[in-house]
Amino acid sequence: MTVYKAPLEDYNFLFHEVFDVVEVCNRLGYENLDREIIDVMTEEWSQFVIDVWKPSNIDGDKFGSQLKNGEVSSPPGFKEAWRQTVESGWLQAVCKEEHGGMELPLFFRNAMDEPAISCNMAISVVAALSLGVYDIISGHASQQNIDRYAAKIGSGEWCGTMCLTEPHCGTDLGLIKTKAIPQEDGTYSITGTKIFITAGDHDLSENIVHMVLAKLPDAPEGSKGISLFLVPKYLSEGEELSSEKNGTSISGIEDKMGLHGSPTCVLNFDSSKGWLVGEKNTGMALMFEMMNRERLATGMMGLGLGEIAYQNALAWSLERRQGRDLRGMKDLDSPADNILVHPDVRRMLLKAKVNCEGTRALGTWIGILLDEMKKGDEETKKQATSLIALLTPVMKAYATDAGCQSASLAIQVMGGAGYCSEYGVEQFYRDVRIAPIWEGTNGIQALDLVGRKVTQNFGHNLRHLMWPLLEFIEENRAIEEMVEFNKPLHQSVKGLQQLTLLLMAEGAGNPHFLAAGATDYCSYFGNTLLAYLWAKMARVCLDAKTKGTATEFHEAKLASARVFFAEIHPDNVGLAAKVLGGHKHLMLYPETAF
Amino acid sequence: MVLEMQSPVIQTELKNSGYINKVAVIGSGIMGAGIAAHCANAGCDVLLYDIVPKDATDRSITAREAIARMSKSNPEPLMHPSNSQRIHPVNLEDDLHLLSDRDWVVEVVVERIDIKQSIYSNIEKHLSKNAILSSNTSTIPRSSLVKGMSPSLASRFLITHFFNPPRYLPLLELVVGDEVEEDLFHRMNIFASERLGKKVILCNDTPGFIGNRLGIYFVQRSIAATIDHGFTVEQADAMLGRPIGLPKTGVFALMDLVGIDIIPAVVQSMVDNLPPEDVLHNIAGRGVDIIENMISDGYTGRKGKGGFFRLNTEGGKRTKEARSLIDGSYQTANRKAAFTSARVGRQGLKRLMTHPDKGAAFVKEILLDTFAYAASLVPAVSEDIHAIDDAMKVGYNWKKGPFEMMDSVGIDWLVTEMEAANIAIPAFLSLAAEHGSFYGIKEGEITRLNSTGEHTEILKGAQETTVADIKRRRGKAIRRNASASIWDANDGVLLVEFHSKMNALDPLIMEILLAAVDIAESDEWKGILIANDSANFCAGANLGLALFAANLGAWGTLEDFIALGQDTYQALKYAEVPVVSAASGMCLGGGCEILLHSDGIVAHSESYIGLVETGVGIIPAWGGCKEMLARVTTEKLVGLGPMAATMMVFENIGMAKIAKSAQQAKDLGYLRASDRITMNREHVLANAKSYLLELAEDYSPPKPHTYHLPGPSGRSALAMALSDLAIAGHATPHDVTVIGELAKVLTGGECDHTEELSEEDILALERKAISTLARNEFSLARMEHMLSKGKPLRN
Repeated sequence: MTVYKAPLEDYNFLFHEVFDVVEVCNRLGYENLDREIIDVMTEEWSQFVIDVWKPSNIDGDKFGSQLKNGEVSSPPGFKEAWRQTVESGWLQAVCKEEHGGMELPLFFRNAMDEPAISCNMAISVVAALSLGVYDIISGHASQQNIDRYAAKIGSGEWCGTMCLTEPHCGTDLGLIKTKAIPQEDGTYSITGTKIFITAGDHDLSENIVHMVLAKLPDAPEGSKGISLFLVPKYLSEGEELSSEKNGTSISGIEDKMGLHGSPTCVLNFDSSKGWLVGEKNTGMALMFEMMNRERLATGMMGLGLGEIAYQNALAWSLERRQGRDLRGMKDLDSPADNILVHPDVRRMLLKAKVNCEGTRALGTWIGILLDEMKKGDEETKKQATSLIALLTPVMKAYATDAGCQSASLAIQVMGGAGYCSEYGVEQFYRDVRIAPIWEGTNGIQALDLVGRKVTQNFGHNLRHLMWPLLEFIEENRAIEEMVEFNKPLHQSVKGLQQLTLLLMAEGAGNPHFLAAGATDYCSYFGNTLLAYLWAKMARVCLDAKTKGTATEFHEAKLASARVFFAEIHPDNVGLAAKVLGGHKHLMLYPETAF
Repeated sequence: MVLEMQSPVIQTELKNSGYINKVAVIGSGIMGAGIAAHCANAGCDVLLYDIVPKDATDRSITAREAIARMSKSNPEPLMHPSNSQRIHPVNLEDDLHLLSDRDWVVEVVVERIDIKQSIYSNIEKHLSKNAILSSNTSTIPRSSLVKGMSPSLASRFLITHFFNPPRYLPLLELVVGDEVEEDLFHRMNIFASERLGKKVILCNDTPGFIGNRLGIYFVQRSIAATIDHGFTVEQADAMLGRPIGLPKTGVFALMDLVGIDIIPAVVQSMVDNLPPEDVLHNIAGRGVDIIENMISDGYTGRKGKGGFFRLNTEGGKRTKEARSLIDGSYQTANRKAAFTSARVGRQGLKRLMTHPDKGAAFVKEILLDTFAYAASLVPAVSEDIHAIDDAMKVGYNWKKGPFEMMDSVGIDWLVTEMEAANIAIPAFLSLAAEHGSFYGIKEGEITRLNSTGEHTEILKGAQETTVADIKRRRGKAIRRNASASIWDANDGVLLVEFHSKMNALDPLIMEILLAAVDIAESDEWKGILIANDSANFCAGANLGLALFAANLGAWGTLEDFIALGQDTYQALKYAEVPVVSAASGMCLGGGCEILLHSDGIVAHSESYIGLVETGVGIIPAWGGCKEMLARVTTEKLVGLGPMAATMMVFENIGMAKIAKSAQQAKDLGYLRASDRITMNREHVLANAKSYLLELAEDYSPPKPHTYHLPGPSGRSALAMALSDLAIAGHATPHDVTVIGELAKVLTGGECDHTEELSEEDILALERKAISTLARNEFSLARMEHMLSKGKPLRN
């Protein structure tokens, strides 16, 4: 049995003290959302996933999804959990009003991924995929298909998938082979094989709607010739579902390191009936629209699993007594002190904790930017779009790396116990390990950042990040209590400026230089963003102290900020050195010596 | 052979004996008028002849109208509007007696032997004994033209074949007969290369000479292949332009440019005159039907209603459309017609030719035949492969000539491929295969394979030295970084070469310039020469880097860069040795400011100089304002009084005026009266070096200028002028901001006119203005637009 408590206090702080989401809601036209409603919903959703999703998480890992006679069955408890989820109306709440929802803001939807992932990542990805498919259908499908599918997928009654990868191509989707042949009735006949399809089949819902990338017969070469199709597992006529499958079949599910509860399918389409979504040959753009949200959601997986791993390591540590405080015994009544007396144990626990607190702030910020991009005025939209372009790959890569690190540290704190299944923490480590891989590996995220998001329009996106950041540094320069946070932040920002200029100058002539430094640059970028957020949070706490409204929470947050600047932020020195080191040591390494 | 440049002594002698200064051009069509204009550009006195139209009251109206058209033509044939005053309209009936004082008479009439010959016989009696007569024929052999000519006239008769437009295309093919005296030929050669600035290539008397012989074959071969492969014109041009080192017009857009209607006549003339075994005969008829249909439909190219491409302006939109070779219909041109192989062209021609796609197969087929054809022209058309390569590079703007291209893919591979394609291997190519290559290097000099199978050194006069020559001979730079290098250019001269992308100025270039000053001063060099072989001397600072720095908010970096540029340019100006810049092509922004800080300039006549910073939302801040304020006064371009200099510089910089030639740059003050202009691009470096050595005799650095500027009252006067412009719609809101910052600098900030300002004061004002503008998002939008779209944003 694992322990878990939703980080409600932290969300409270982020929502109302750091970012002021009520102001955001008012400004962007999300009506009827005041502080109380937001807090109640946060609490109730968290409690819901703790009560309904969490109990089946260990069974999900132990028994996994099973493929028998061409049908995938879920682990024990999943069906019931999903049934309750659909009934609760929680998923539908984020949908548009015409589909029975309340159109809850994206920042809320995004933040609420965290407790869901902590409690049961395997179920959470079904929900995330279904809502992602809902977004695409409600935004781009024909009215007929919106009417037919949107409300059912939005509620979770039916589920959704994204079908991109094929046996011979993943990162380079221009090479896909799945064909879509136009039919006389305006539909398409889809044939091909897709692999690595998360929740490609299961028994949680009676129907599954696949979003499939395929090529039309006369499509241009490469990624410009990809279209998106809606292909249901079962066709429906009115309210009636056909009993015949729509040419889809599952020929295998993968044996994986973790995330056993979520079936990773090989999915075949054999003359399956499909409908074009959006315009012809715009599949990549539509997929990226969905992907950007999924990338952020993947970042949240690093956070969710890092958090629960930390909480369990902490719970264990509070009980565990080993050795003595090096400066003298603490607990004379016991044969040993609690292991929290050891600096190295504290280092590990606090690093995990601060990783989570920092990426939570980053995730919350991006969530708000998503709302601003969707509903802000022209100027707000422009700025938010630039920031999301930059922050999405950083969040995905940084938060998933941090999540893996946190889960690994949690195991380390627990020693042998951490390695044993009995305590549940090793499962979190295995589960979180997919996050740096899927939705575009972290290496690809880094290349996306450095080769596209930073580079495009001569660094235009950066303006919307760097100018306000420099303004923040300037504002805080004179505040004495801020020096310990503001000064290292300033160092990193100056470093980021120089590294970026170097990468652009050198990388223009030598793409290897750019690519070799990309991952470390991306980490540097992430660390710098977090330095900004930690400084910002520290400022909020210091202001609270000045106003006399500070609580223990604020003191703890300041302490966390100090941990960040002492334990995590200094990595930037090494990261910068690695970026500066260039590519030669890699590319000149003799091929025969590998 | 390429004519070898004579020693200065001989040149001087020739100048004394038979210097060409008075010219007559017979025929005032596009080419005749162009040649007349260019001779006027060179300072010659020109008579422009044409026929008398029926019943004309102004009997020289044809020529007069041709002269009037010059100021309206684009590109402009005249380097300075006043040059037209040197051209006098005359007619072939009343004014032939005026020919008597002409040094050179060039016939530029329709390509018909009978008409040309009757003109020669009509004018012969009016020509002086020393006069040179030449024809601008492009295809008729000299041997046919001199038939029936008196021996005395034949001994003074040449073919001088200019390329259109004569001002801008530097190739001049010269055909000389055995009966022509060497002295006369040298007179023409020196006149053409020094005064007219032409690359003179001596050709044998064969049809189409060099450029058109090979050029027409290539075009005709490409048409045939396009039809055979079923390609569209967009596909053909996308493969036959940049990917193989040719201008982006490829083949079909090139025909649109020269005029579809002239193609059949030119090809026919070639067919009539070429020997029967010439392989052009095999393909000369291909596509004739297409072209004739186009001509009869009025699709004669850009001068008509369009050609293979046309611009559809229906509905106010400008859509480029392409003609189908199959049914003559027009469809929106496919901008992405290039095959994948087009992109590998950057990695070398062989990579392209061995690529497996259809586009590569198309290119390979055309090039193998073209290469074989080029090799078969040696020695009949020319014995000199270097001359053939030069003709294609200078006349057709190919990046490499055919023999250089063949060397780049490897002769052995080429022969194997030609054999596989059943192409007969020309004897000269077999010879090259034995030697491994057409070109070589011996003791630092480039050699060429001659028709007897020996490698002979390519002789080039000191006058034509390029930076590449200096580098090849030296081998190693004195100092070098990624953007610039310092070389020993002999005779105590240090040469600084820029080689960053587009020669954009960056901190690395500044570092090299400062190092050059340091080395020159400490090691007793005579002076510093700033020069490069690029088409454009320098079009300004690396704006992309600056914009990046601004977007990053790296203000310190940006301000350091500005200060570094100012310090560097001041160091150049006040170095203990003279600094001379060799200008050519674009010299804009920071590039112009280098010129302004040089002690002397030798500018190619085709130099386009200006301070264009306002177009990208900033102002000149590397001393451009400072130098121009001083310059217009010292050059006496304006009268006295604190407002006069400010006004002129305000107009120049505020309106981002670009001088469209070196001659015009003197009017605007970007060049001093004493700065020198060289018509021949290849002579610029040598002339700049001589000028530097002249200045080095008894050199002392200039005295710093002091300024009296009008201050805030002057600024309000400029502000009023500016707001009038804005009200009239001539200045956008952001123009007002940018030019307002410029006004602050040019009026001396908060000074009053009794106060004396130093150069450092003006530099400080420049820095302040740039710091303000770099933080303005509208200025950054201008930079971004310029960098991504290549044209200014009017926000």
